[in-house]
Amino acid sequence: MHVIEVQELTKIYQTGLKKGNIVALDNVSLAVEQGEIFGLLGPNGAGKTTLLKVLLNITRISSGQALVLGLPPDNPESRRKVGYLPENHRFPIHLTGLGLLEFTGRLYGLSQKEIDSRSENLLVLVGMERWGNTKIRKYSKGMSQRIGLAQALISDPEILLLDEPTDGVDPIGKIEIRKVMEKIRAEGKTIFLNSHLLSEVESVADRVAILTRGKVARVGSVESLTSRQSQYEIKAAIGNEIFDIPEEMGKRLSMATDGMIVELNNEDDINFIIDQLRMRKVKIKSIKPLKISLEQSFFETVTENKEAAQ
Amino acid sequence: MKGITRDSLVEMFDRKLVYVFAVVTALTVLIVILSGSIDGQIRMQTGGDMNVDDFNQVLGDPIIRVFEFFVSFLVFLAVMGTAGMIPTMLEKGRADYYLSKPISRTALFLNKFVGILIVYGLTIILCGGIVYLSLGLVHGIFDFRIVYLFLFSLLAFFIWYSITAFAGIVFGSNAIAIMSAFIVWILQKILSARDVIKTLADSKPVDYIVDTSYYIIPKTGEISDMSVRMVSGRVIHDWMPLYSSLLFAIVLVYVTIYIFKRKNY
Ligand SMILES: Nc1ncnc2c1ncn2[C@@H]1O[C@H](COP(=O)(O)OP(=O)(O)OP(=O)(O)O)[C@@H](O)[C@H]1O
Ligand SMILES: [Mg+2]
Repeated sequence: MHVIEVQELTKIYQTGLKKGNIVALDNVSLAVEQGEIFGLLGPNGAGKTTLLKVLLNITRISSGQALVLGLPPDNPESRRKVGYLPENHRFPIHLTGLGLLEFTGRLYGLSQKEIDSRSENLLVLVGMERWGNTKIRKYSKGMSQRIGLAQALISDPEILLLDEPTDGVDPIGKIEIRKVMEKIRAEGKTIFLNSHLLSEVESVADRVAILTRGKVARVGSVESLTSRQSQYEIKAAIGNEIFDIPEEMGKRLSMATDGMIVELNNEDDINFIIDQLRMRKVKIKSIKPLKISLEQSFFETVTENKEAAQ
Repeated sequence: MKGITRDSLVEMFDRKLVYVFAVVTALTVLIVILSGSIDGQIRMQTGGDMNVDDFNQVLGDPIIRVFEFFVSFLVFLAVMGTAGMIPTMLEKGRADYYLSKPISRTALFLNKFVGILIVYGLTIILCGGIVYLSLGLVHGIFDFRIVYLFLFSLLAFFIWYSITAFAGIVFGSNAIAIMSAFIVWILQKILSARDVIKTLADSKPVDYIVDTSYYIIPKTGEISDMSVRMVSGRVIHDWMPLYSSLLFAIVLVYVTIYIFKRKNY
């Protein structure tokens, strides 16, 4: 089931008369499956935050369609089972941490009993049990990020929208937050994660979309974004047994006595290479698709798009 | 939505507004007590029992005018103190928090708006009650009409708050919300001298503009005068200033919600 569905969504911000309009989202289509952690990557100003805001009706759709748990964003009920940790948030600072959880719970229509029982657990979950009775005004950045995560969870949401959740959090806190995300996924909940931190997304997300200039440049599993399907590294005692690869099939990128790297136009043609090697009684040690880091993939996608735009 | 009303109360405490109210009330009570010395004078003239009418006969309007001044001052403080509450709620980063909850924008606005009115109402009942009691204890006057001052101030506050809420939503700025109240206040002062303006200008279009603006712009000053008339038992010939101002406020709240629903945050 798709818990979030976005179709041909466009968001244009009308700015001052002179400056013209900003196209923050340009014909975006996406679907997020129940129970997955979906990472949204993109350079500054790509439109990541705008996408979350559109899903929550904080910002209004210009054209296209969005559905959250099957409901359009302008129906307040679509937010009933959604928790949100905004980027650069400023909670009502006249409240204490516990006060924020209670007030948030009331905004979700929870009973006092539900609020009380969840608040305590959530404070422990985000490591803030000592700070529950301190005013948010006095919190450090990482602390308010933690309480922000707790308030996003107070309604026991089906979908959790996190915009840069580890921003300002110390390294230990980052690991803790990752664990919290994994725990929530284990409960069958869905997480939509906006992040700059490629390593964070790589380690936790099931699927990733790369957004540049309001457009979805790539979308797929972390695996598919980082593997170079057409390139293979072959480790084998080739020695002098050199053979040619037909031009229409691909080419050899490097060659040594103990292996080679090939680039093929068609994945199936790896079998041709294997056949050739076996025919020559060459012992094959390993064949593996070449991987690049998510960072490399991200960088390439973003620069490709920049060039295309110019 | 109890949550938002209660939060408004907490926020007003946080803004120290409640303490300011307490100080103003205390000052009013002090005036009541100090005016106790003239008590005997009145009793001598009226022979025993008194009510506000006797009080007025002896003193004229002054004591009620003093009350009116304090009540207007309370309204002024409340308008200044609460003007920022809606822009604050919709500040960058905080709007995201409120708007992401399963509440429609209409409900969010009305809850906040009514919440603040209720908090002001409670404060005014408390302040009014204390002043009423002190008047009774010091002077032996238990005249319900004094409560009109406070009741009318709630209406005046509603009118002012509709203006600052409108400016707060449209411009998203604390300062502009406060300024909007001052601008309306200045317009009101100018229009209260509309007869002078009309005589000076001596032209039909000016007459028309001045008269129309007078009917549109809320007339809280006149409402305050009306409350004084009510307390001193005089007749009110024309309720127009009250209901035209209330109509203005209701329409403005409606327009504000309409705009709020269409805004991007
Ligand atoms: N309220 C607004 N009014 C006008 N333009 C806006 C508004 N909010 C965002 N934008 C513009 O929309 C574009 C996308 O912004 P957005 O905040 O969604 O980017 P982002 O991907 O979240 O960036 P970052 O990584 O810096 O958080 C930017 O060009 C930004 O200037
Ligand atoms: Mg962002």
